[in-house]
Amino acid sequence: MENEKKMITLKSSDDVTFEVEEAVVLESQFLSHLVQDCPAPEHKIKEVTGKILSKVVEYCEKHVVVVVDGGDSSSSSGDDLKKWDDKFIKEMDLSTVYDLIAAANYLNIQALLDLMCQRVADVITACKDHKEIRETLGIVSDYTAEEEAEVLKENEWAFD
Amino acid sequence: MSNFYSVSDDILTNIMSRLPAKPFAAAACVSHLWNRVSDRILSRPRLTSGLSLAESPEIAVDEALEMALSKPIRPHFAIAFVGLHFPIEEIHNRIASKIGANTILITTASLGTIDADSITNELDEMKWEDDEDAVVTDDDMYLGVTVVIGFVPGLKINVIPLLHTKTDPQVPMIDEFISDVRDFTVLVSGNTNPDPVGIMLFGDHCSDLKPILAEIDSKISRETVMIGDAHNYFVCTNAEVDNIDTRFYTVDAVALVFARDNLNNNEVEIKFHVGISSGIIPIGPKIEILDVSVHEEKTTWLIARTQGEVWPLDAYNLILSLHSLITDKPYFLYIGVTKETEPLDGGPSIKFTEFYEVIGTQQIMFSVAGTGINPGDICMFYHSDMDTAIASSNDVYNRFHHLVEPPPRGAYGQLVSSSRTNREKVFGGFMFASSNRGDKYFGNSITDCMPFYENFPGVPFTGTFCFEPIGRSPVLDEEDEWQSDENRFNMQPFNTVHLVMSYKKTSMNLD
Repeated sequence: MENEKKMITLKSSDDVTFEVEEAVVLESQFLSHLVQDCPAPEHKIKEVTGKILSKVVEYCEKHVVVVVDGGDSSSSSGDDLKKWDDKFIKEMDLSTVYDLIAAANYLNIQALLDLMCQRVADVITACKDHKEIRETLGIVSDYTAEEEAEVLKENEWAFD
Repeated sequence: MSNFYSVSDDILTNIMSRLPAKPFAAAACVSHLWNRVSDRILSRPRLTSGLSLAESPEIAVDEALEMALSKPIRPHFAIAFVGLHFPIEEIHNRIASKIGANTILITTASLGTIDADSITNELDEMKWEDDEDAVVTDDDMYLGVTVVIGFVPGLKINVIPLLHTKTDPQVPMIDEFISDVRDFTVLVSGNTNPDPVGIMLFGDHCSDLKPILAEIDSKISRETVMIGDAHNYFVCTNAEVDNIDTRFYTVDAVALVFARDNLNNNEVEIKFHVGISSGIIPIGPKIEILDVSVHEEKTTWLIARTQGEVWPLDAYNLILSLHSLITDKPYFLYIGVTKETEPLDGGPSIKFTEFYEVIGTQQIMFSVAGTGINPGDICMFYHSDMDTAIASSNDVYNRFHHLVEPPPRGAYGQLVSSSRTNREKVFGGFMFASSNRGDKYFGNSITDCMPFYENFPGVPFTGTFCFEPIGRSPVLDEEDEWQSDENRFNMQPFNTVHLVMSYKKTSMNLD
């Protein structure tokens, strides 16, 4: 019986390395295929910076631990995880959120991607109208005044 | 620094799909791209609903709406079912102020609601014992609000009132109603087919809709699905109803008319399907009414004879003998009176059956609730029967079963691309159930819901227990047998009427 856990090293685009258990890597569809196909001890992930990769690793470690410890996924561990997720995204600036979305998308970690999309959705939900959404997310409108009036009319039921 | 422009369309779709309806509407106005993404998310019809049992009307409305609007949707129409002890107008106005003045809204009283959408949402708050038993028909349900919101691309909806004149005699304006329905249908369909896809009817508690419905039935194509509640309190403040001059007209009913919108290029085509579960069976001889006396304008005492006999029958002993024959107790006893209407335009008369609950008997007389029976009328006794109700619920289940999507094929199954098989996809359902049924009658709430719920678990489904559910037996599919029925509008007193809404991609959008 081999008790020792297999460790894998991930290296970010800016050469920051993270040593993680294999189980953590398996949270990512992309990395689990990579690890299976090419059993090298170290994997360079050119698309993700050290700052973002550290967040990804933090997230995956937390989620893998809970699943393993819980055995049966009892609701209390689910609640704890939810609290942890909330804290994880709470103070995160939007720029980091976008980077994490890109990383989660690239590494194919659906739960992290969904969590980050929910964070952006929450930000949008907190805006009072379309103008505030543009301001908050830094989006420039490509509508002419007439076009804008038209889409506003289509959606007028929602505006008091 | 990363900005929002690094986010791909797929991710934007993921994000926007998570928005509640109002922020979703604001997001749809951000830019061309966001608008396109919002259209893509809402390219399919959907129903959403919310239920609240809060004791305060304001809180109940807000909670129910928050749930119903927790997903992206553009309200094309909304129906609110309100507990009888709640102020219905106040609730109506509050909902109207939150879903836009131009959204079609009908608020109607309910003796209990079922809301399957909330099972996944807010089960804990509902105080329901288990997932499937999401039904409340107890007295506390006389409080509470359920709101259903519908988004039905490819259909246009209008509210069309059914009026009668206040002149003497009061004349029901059936032909005006039918021509309004047809005008609207032709207007939006852009062709000459005057038959809408469906009509959901809400009748006023002061009117007797049965003879009117029998006539409407004979004049509106059988292709049109019709369901509703013939006898209730309702509020509708859309312009079509609000502008009626109440000095001259009384509103008997309002109809939500769903017509196919052929003028725009629609990606989907919506279909309605009806199933009626009946719960009564005839018993005893055919009888003829000899004498009628009405008490306090709400009870009728009757003397009758068995058809072919000379002397009045001994009603007390007849009802006693019926009682000993009926094994399924307790039961409701009715008489079904065959009636005929004479359409104003001189068309052929239409037969229909009107049901009255038998409430008492004394010597040779018996009494029923309601009025409108005349000497010479022919009638039959009917009683509620649980086996009949269960069996007919099963029939409705089977009737809808062909709409169930087959499970995904296994690894060794034939490879058929699912996008190529263009099946009807069920997106929502309504149930109008007799308030005599439900939990108290069956001892469970599943029997009423199962035709929908067990076929389409997870699909939004709202039911109301009401006084007079009505449904018209639809055009039967090839696989069904033709059932002849003199009154195709089924107005039996112990019915549960189901409406299933499905859609299919139109041929121009098939991959």
